[in-house]
Amino acid sequence: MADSQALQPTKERNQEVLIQVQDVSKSFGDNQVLKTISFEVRAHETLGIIGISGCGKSTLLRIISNLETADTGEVNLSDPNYSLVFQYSALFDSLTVLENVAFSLLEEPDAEYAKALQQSQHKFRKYSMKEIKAIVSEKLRMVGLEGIEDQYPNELSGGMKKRVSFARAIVSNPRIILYDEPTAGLDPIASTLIEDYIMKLRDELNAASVVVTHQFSTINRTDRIILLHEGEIKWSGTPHELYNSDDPFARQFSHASLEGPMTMEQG
Amino acid sequence: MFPFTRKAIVAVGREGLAFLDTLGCAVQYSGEIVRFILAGQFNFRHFLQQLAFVGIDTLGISLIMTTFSGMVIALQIAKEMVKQGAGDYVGALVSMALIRELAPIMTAFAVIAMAGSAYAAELSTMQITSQVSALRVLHVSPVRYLLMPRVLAGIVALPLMNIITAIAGILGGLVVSHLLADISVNHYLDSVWQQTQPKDVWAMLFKSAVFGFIVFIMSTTIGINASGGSREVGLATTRAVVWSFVLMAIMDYVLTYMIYGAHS
Repeated sequence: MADSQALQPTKERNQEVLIQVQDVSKSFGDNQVLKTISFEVRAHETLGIIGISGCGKSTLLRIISNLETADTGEVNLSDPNYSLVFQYSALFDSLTVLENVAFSLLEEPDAEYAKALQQSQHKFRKYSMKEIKAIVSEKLRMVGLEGIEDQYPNELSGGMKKRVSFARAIVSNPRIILYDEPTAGLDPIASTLIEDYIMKLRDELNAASVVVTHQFSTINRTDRIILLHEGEIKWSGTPHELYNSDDPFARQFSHASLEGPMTMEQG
Repeated sequence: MFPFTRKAIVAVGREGLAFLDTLGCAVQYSGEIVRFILAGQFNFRHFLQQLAFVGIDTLGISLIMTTFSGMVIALQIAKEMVKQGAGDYVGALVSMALIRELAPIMTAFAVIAMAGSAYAAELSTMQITSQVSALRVLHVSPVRYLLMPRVLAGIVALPLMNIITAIAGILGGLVVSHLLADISVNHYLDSVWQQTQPKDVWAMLFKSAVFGFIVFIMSTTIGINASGGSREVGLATTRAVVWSFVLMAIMDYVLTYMIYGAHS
């Protein structure tokens, strides 16, 4: 029953909008990288953001995660508890796996965030070391890693680092998870494993996910896609529609063609 | 010739602007650190970790530098002063030179070379590998988590180290004075004791605390604002060392003038 429910179209499962991006624009000097971008992501939905390199995908993700500020427009996250999985994991190399995963449980958050949490359904509280170890073990088990709590990031493979960064991202059970090129540089089997985790987290946390990616295998697992080019949304639809669309942007991207409106110089 | 001159002027101008930009950021971060302290958001464990790193890792080299500084001063003045009948003042001169100037400067040099450069390299690596961004996403301010414990450790560690290094320098001078100029241990120590003013000691502690602040706020600010690739880590480290030296030299003059005036 649970499996068949997970396959149903997103809107039938849940209408709750968790991420709302409204008319967001961003320039760096004279270079306008985003032009009035708007979209929504609902609970239990995975949105893929695709486009050629330099089209503004990562900047958009950084704006959603509050690492950059938009010049105009706004981003509304329905929950202050969100997380971002970085392209190269971004684990703290001076900390063990346990300390990395448990970071947001061990460290006191900024006052503004703590206040926002108080006002939402979440509460920041101090955990005992025993509780923290139990939570970390559970999260590591979720991503298929156990017994590596005392290792340092430089002792792990690229795929393991990525999975540890997944565990760190979900330790506080966020309902908004952002992924920046989650499968870049991984072999096909490791990529499938990571894509499975993205789906698993979406199902278990009823989360809204935004995945920036170039990988077709990852694109195929999303519910909806937007294609960015020169800072604008040129096309949007489902993965199935991407491969069958006559739109020149969608067609060029899905066929990985050099012929079409997108050129690397423009990107 | 002209294009070369123009390029040199542009390069100097760019470096000057970068220096001013870093100073502005350092002032902003200092304000944030004060705000975090007043709000009680202070992690004592992180502070102690950094205090141990700065104190233990750099004390050895500081001791060597100040001990030899005391020995060199004694080597240069002891025999001549004994000849002139002023052997009783050798200890006072050595201690005055060390306490007022050399101990704080030499200790700060050692700390810049070892801890300041290490912090700049560490933080710039964290910045270019997105670890600083990860902190922000995890809702932990990089200023509070990375800068505050390091800067406060510098402010506390340097005065404590200075007490030890100044004593080591004075003892270095004692050994040389005794062995080469035949000045008795008692005469030397009496001279040190009688001529060293409490004001000199307080000034030394104050100066070294200011130096500690300058070294660590500059090193961490430069590190955390690095961008680009691995080349930037090297550049950030060099900048941290050079700019800390420059700012410290300027502040040394300003503080000495404020404490002792123009006629000390």
